[in-house]
Formats: sequence, C-alpha cells, structure tokens
Amino acid sequence: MILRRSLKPILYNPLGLLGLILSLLVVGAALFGPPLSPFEPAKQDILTRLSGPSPSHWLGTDQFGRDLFSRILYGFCSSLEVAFVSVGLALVIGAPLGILAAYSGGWPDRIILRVMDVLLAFPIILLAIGIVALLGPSQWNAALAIGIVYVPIFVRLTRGPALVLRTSDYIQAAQALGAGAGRVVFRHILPNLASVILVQTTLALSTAILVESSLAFLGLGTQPPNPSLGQMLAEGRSYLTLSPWTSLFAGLAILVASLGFNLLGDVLRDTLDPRLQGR
Amino acid sequence: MLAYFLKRSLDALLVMFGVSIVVFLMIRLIPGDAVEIMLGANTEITPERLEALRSKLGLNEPLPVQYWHWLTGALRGNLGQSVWTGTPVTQEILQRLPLTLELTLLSLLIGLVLAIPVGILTAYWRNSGAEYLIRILSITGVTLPSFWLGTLFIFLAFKLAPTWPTLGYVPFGENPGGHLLRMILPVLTLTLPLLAGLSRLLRSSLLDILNQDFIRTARAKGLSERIVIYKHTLRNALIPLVTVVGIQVGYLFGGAIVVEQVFALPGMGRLIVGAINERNYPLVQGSILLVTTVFVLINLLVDLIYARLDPRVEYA
Repeated sequence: MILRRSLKPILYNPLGLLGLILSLLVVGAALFGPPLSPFEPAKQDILTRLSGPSPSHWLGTDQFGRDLFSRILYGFCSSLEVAFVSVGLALVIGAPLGILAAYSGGWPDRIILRVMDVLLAFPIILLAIGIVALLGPSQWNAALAIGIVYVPIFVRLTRGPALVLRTSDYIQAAQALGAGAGRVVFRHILPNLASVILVQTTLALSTAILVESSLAFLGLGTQPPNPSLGQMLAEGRSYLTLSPWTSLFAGLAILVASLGFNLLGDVLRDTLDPRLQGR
Repeated sequence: MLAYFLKRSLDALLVMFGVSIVVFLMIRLIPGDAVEIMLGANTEITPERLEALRSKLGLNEPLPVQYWHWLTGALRGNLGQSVWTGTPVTQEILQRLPLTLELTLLSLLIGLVLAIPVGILTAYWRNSGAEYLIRILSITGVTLPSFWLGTLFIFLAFKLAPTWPTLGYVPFGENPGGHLLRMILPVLTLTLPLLAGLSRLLRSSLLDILNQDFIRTARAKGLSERIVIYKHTLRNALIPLVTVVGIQVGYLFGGAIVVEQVFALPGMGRLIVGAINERNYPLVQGSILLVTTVFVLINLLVDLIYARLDPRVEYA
C-alpha cells in the first residue's frame, strides 16, 4: 500500500517522473542489457579501436576496439549488483539493530549507538577503502565494504522513530493484549517505518553507485576483464586526448544511474513527509 | 559551557578509542596470513623472511599486548615502519597530508563562501518553473561523480588552453604561481558538488525562516528588506550550515582521495592506494588512523563552535 500511496504523487511531479524513468531505464539496462547487447563486452576488434559513435558502434569503441554501448550495459549490471547488495545488506543489518536498540533501551541501546558512532567517525570512502584493502579488491568485497559502511545510516534512521513508536498508545495496547516482542516489532513497528526506510534506501542506492564507481575507479572494485563503469572511465583516461568517448560515456552512465535514484528518493521524501514539501 | 565542552571531548575520546581498535584489528582480520600476503606481493616467501617480518610487526605476542604496544607507540607518534622501505609511517604521511588538507580546506572555504550568495539568490527566485530547475541542478550537482568531472575539466583544458598544466604537482615553496595554477581544477572539481549541496540546504533554511513570525514583525515595523534578509534571516539560516560542515569535511576528504588520483597529485589518496597495491599494511593502517583522527577533531571543533553560535544548544 505504501507503493500505491507514493507512486501517484511521483507520476504527477516532473522530477519524480524523470527520476522514475531514469531509474527504470538503468534497472532495465542492467537486467535485460547483457542478453540484448549488440556485442560481446570483451570482444576485441583492434581495427576499429578508439572510434567515436557510429551506426555500428552506437557509443564508439575503447582502446581494444570493444563496443562501448555493450560494455556500459554490462557496467550498469555490475554497478547495480553492488549497489543493491550493499544497500540490502546495510538495511537487513541496520534496521533490526536500530529497532532493537530503541525497543530494548538500556545497555544494548548504548552499545549499539557507540559502535555506530565509531563507524561514522571514519570518512565513508576511507572506511570502504580500508575494508577492501583487507579483503582484497573485488566486486563482492566492494559490495560488502559499502554495506558495512552504510549500516549506521539505517540504525540511526530506524532508532529515532522506533523510540517514539515504542511508547505510543497502540503499541502499548498491542503489548497489553499479549503481543510478544517479535510480533510488536514486525507487525506494528516495522510497517510504520516503511516510508522512511523506502526513502533512505532509494537515496542510499544513489550514493552507493557513486561509492562503488569510485572504488572501481581506484582499482579497488570490479576487476578487469569484467566491465565496470568506474574502471572503464579510469582506462579511458589514458586515451583522453585521442578519443574522449570512453571516459565521457562511462561517467555519464554513472551520473544517470545515481541521478535517477536520487531524484526518485528526493521526490519520495516530499510526498511521504508533507512537512518537507518542495524543499 | 565547560561541562558541555568536557562531555563532548570525552565522547570524542571514546570514539577515538573505538576507532583505534578497529584500525588495529584491520591487519589481524585479514583472511589468511597477512604476513604471507605482504611478502608474497613483493618477494619470494621463505620461512626465515616470514618469521623476520612477523616479529618486526610484533605479531608474535598476545593480542592485548600487541594493542598496548601499538597504541602507546601511536600516541607517541610512532605508527611503525613501511614494510619495504623501512621509512617511518608517520614521516611518509606527514609528507602527504598537507596537500590533501589544502585541497579539502580550500574547497570547503570556497564552497561555503559561494553557497551564501547562491542560496540567497535561489531563495529569492521562487516560482514553480524555477523551483524544478534549481532542484534538478542541485541534485545533479550532488550526484556528479568527481572523477568524471575532473576528467572532463582536464579534457576541456586540453582543448581550450593546451598550455595549462593540468596534471602533476609543484610545491608552493618552489613555485607559488605554478602550484596554485595546478590546484584550480582539483579544487573546482571538489567544490562544485559541495556548492550544490550547501546552497540547497541554505536555500531551504532561508525559506523556512522567511515564513516565521519574527520576520513578519521585522517587516511590519518597517525594517528595510536588506536588514531583514541579512540581519534577521541569514544569520539564523547559517546555523544549519555550520552543523553539516563537519560531515562535509569527511566527504571532501574522501573526494580528495579520488580527485588526487585524477590529477596525479601526491597526497594521501595516492599514498593509501599505493600502499594497498603493494600490501603495505602498516602504512594503510597509519593513514586511516591519522586521517580519521583529524576528522574526529574537526567534528569536535565544529560542535563546539556550533554550541557557541546557537544559544539554544543544551550545555548539559
């Protein structure tokens, strides 16, 4: 029901609509792109290397003559895999922890908050880099690193409202009727947090795409020969003066992906929280 | 105020204690044998070399003892030595840190200074069409990948001003002009997203305050619009801006790590990425510890400044 309630205002807001279209395009490209892509992403054709957009290669080719359009479709796929896995991980760990902290109070609350304070003390990218450094650079380690870095976001997000809900009349009524902690948390608290969680998840996807591509750009994410947008941009830089297309389109793809989710989250926040209308 | 100062400082100390444990455990949590990985990345593995490196890193003692040695060392400014060169880690970091700090602080300063006029102008500009434009511009600004923006700047400079030195670094002491010229594009790259975020925040807090009763009172008693905006509105609207400065420094620092890579600047970013590639774990550890310490201190400072600026903050 939360989807139906939030979908309508988005369709009526030009920016919401734009965000929705961009996000759907990017998700569609990630899901259906690989089977539909015109070329194999690793197929080299040295004769057409570093060419600009043309009818056969829509976005041109890179330094090995690989088709950029196909590689970007695959790149969307690997970026979104990391973004969804990492944000999902942060949500699945963070939200229960936040609710647990609020619901139990006392020392579990204090310990959870302290640990989150420590995680938040690190600059985001630095902590992600540190985790990748110890696990070794790879796509899934990047996802794990971003997931861990994002846990405090969801703990803080859910703890505050859960704290208010805990003492509300209807929760007390449920408890008086004999509902156990599990039932209270899953049936009564969690559904009420769905809208804040939905907004934050969408925004977190947007920033996770940026962090993932930063890691890949630094060589700490998806490893070649698997295509990833950040790494494509980094490789293209060596040939920038000969042919800027690789870097240009790879970066544009990252921007589009991140922008789509951010617009969507931003408009969602407005529609789900009327106090913030239009800010 | 003193009580608040003490409480906040104690909090920061506690957080730093946690941070030190996390950073200390990093090298110990590496799956497999960290020493073998470090050696394997650079030379042939022999039992003697393994043992030598292990004892050099103090990995033979019980964990709490290791932590105690490491912590007391760190507090005296000794973060160990680089595995391969034997240079003290502190020395390597101190050579690189100033450049990253310069990038971060310059961008923060310029971002803050520009955000004020941009925020005010866009707050004036209020009709539905402009509303959408401002919003999409600011959101696009926030989601611009810095490494793409930097790369575009390099390409544009190459096309428009081929003699502009876009890459590399000259120390300020050797050639102040050349140094600043090379800093323009990196700083611009870091500033744009920051400016988008800050001016949007300022705009929304300006609009909030303009709707308040005391602004209506100020206008009703005949104050000029100038005084209403600058003395009554802006001063209050700047407060939320101060609170995000601490967080923004963290983002900027992360951004600087990436942007240094784009512009081939020898700062902390290059140091850390280089250290990771050659599995120089003590250097990675030391860099993360030192940068995070600076970050925590800046946040502490911002909180204290905020408490002085906003009399409503509780000092208890």
